[in-house]
Amino acid sequence: MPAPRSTLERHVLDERGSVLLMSIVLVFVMTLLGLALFDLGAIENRMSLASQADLRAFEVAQAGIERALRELQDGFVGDAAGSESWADNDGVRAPICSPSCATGVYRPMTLANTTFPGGGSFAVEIMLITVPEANATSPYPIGLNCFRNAANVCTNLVFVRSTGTVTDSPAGGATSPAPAGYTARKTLQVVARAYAPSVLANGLVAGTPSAQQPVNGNVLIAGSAHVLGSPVGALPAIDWNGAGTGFVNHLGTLAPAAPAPDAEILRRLPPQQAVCTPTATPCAAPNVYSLGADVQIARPTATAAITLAGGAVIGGAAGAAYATGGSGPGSLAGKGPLDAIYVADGCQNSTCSDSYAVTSPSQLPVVDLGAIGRAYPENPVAPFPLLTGANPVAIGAGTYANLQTYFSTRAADLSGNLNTAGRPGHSGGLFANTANWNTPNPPSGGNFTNKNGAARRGRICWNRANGVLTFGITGTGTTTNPCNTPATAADPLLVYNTNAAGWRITRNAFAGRSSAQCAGTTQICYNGAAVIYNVNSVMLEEAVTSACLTGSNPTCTGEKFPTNELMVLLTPGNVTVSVTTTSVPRVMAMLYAGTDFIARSSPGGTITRIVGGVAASRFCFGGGGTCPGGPSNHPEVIQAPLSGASASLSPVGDSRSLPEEVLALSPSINGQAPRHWRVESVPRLWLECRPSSGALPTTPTGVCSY
Amino acid sequence: MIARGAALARDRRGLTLVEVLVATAIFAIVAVAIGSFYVSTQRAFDYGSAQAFAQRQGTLLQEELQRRLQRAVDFSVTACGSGTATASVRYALPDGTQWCLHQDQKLGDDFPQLYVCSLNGAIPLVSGGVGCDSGSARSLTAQSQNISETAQRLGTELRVANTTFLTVSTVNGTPIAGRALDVRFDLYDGAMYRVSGAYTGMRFGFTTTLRN
Repeated sequence: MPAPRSTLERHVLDERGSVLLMSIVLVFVMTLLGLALFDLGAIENRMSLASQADLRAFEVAQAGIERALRELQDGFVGDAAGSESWADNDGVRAPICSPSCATGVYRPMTLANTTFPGGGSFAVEIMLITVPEANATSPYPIGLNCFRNAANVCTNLVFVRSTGTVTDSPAGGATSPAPAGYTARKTLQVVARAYAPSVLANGLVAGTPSAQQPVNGNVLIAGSAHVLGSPVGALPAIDWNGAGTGFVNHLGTLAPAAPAPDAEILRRLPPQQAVCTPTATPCAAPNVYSLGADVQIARPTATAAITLAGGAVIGGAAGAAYATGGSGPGSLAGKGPLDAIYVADGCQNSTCSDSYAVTSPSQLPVVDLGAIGRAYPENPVAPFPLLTGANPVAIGAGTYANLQTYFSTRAADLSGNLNTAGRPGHSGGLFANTANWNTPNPPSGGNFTNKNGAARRGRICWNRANGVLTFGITGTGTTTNPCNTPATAADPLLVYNTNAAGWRITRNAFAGRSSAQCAGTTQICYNGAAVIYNVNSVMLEEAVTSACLTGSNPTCTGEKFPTNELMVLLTPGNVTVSVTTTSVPRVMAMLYAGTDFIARSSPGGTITRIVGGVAASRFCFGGGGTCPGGPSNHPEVIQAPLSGASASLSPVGDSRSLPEEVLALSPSINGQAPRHWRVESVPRLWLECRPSSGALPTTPTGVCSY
Repeated sequence: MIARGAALARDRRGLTLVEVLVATAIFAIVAVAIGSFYVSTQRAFDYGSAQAFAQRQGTLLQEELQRRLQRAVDFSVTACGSGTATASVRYALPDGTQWCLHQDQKLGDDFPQLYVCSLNGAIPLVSGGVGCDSGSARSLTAQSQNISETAQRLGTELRVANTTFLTVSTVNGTPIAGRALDVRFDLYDGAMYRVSGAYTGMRFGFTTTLRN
């Protein structure tokens, strides 16, 4: 009889339950793997959601920037004309900060509705910019034109910082993409700038030509240029050939050391702003004078938009040392590179080079940061604003169908007071050896209505003794001579001229009499501010400048062009300058031609310098152009400095000083009513902040810096 | 029942050979099934984690490229970096410095990588374009921390292929506002599932607009 087995032996030999054991092991292994895969999926899902939340936070931050720019534009436009400012802390218009916006520190901008239904919100902060900050590259590489106030703060520049946040909390919205416990946060920083888009405040602005190029012939443009229209046919928008033509960012051709200096122009212009050219190495103090030249050519895209040959330049060499306004810093040279250039589709690289056609690579534009590949920034291209037709303008508190309607209904009609040749003055014009000439003294009830609807008494007076043409204005209820009180740019004399010959100042209008106001040269000087709408053409065949006493006011203090003295000549027809007369050295005025602007003095004569702002559907310049034909000199178009800021000089006015009638002539973007001011994020100063500590610095220094 | 148990208890015969063979065969079949299941699951896990890793790295790489290009003031799809670069774009930052993004397999690299380098020395390349400043080239893809555990275990590393930079200058024949650059690249870490031998990785692509 075998011995009974032990319990262990029985268990070992017992095979029952082995399947269960194996199943448990298998299920365990599978569970582990399943859990791992599930975990992997969950992690991937979380990462994907976090990525989505990051992206959304970025876009929300960008939305905050766009919102802030819109609010800033509304605030700037909404301020009283002439005193637009982001630095006035008026508590009514943007930016409203809490506490007040200040320099040197970011303050939260007060905004409502900053959350999005799909999750996310933005917070915007504002910091004002001082004049030294704007002018110099230290600590930021800015070098921007600014409208200065008495406290040395730029009224048209601010830092804007927007932080977009997307959280998983209910506050972030039920559809917030952020995974549980994750908060996405992105911060962007820009510099917002307000500027006047008026076609008369930006150097040269060309529209759509009737034939050939928008800018036909040769010219030297000192300052900005903007070509909105397309050439007719397979032509470039600009086709220049020859030394002394092109774009420059300074007034160096007028400087004392230049081959043809012109101190008379320089002393009449407001002081220029001195800035630092943006470079990798900040400069501690401004080192150049700048006109802030910005060139924009919209079309064509299929062929070269700019063709250069024979010494024509775009930016480049610095201008000679000089100053405007007489005294003040005069040792700096003019800035060489342009501030920016935007041409057609920006096609300028190894595979695509149809923006420029040059005979040598050295003729390619010299522009800040070497950025020659920028495309024209707007699509569709805004149409050139015309004086008639459906081109509404907003002036004062009113809106008008077009500028002609505005003038025809309220300006003083002096047509009958011009002679039959359309000249102001006698049949011989403003002739020095004839009697003085004045338009009639207006009745006490006034002869025109200003932009605010107030009745005004306006008069033009020609003083044959000193060669000064005065644009005078008074209120009503008096019979005093308006010419005793020259009109100001804020309330200019408004003239509506329907004379068939238009407005003409011809060579025989002035017999060469010298005077203190006219600086002893053969020219007409005007005193006061007038905006003259001419139904027919404008012809200038004599030198014209603003008046400025030579002996007692060498720096033209209080007599600056265009902030104190200004003549604006508008016509839906042609403007001609120095076409039949040689040696018209300077024309200081703002000139608008609805069709052609023709300037082509005969060879051998003095180059004509047209100072201020010019706009036309087409420009016909001399020295190579074919409209309307003939060899001639190329003129110079010089933009008046209107930055109004130089740290060591008192403010003398900026674009805000221009008449509203001038500011109203702005291109309409996307069919919107044109505005006097446009606000943009300054190119090259967009920045994504990446704070290492999680907390943003109060100033744009440190990690979140330029 | 008691009688049967008692009979078994009294039975001193061992397992027959047939019984052992059958049991071994069954066990082997089950073990192979479990093993192969485990291996395939492990492989699937590897593919999954490699895919997730590449996805994450590609996304980060996209964000990095986007961050660099968005802030640029200008770019040009032109030869730069090195003579062996197979795709490159040159760009300028607001501080005036020049940079180059390029796909290249530099000395010591097992595979092509995406590099960024500065171009401020204006060093001309024999093949045309501008070369990297000495010592400035930095790989955006091949750092050791960019290798997943799976890839490390399998002895592979991250690599890029078929990078393209394309200027987006027109939309329907009309210029667009701003300047846009289209960037595409394949990213592979050697551990991802390959549909075919020609597979060079997960394709990433984005178009970025320069903000400056």
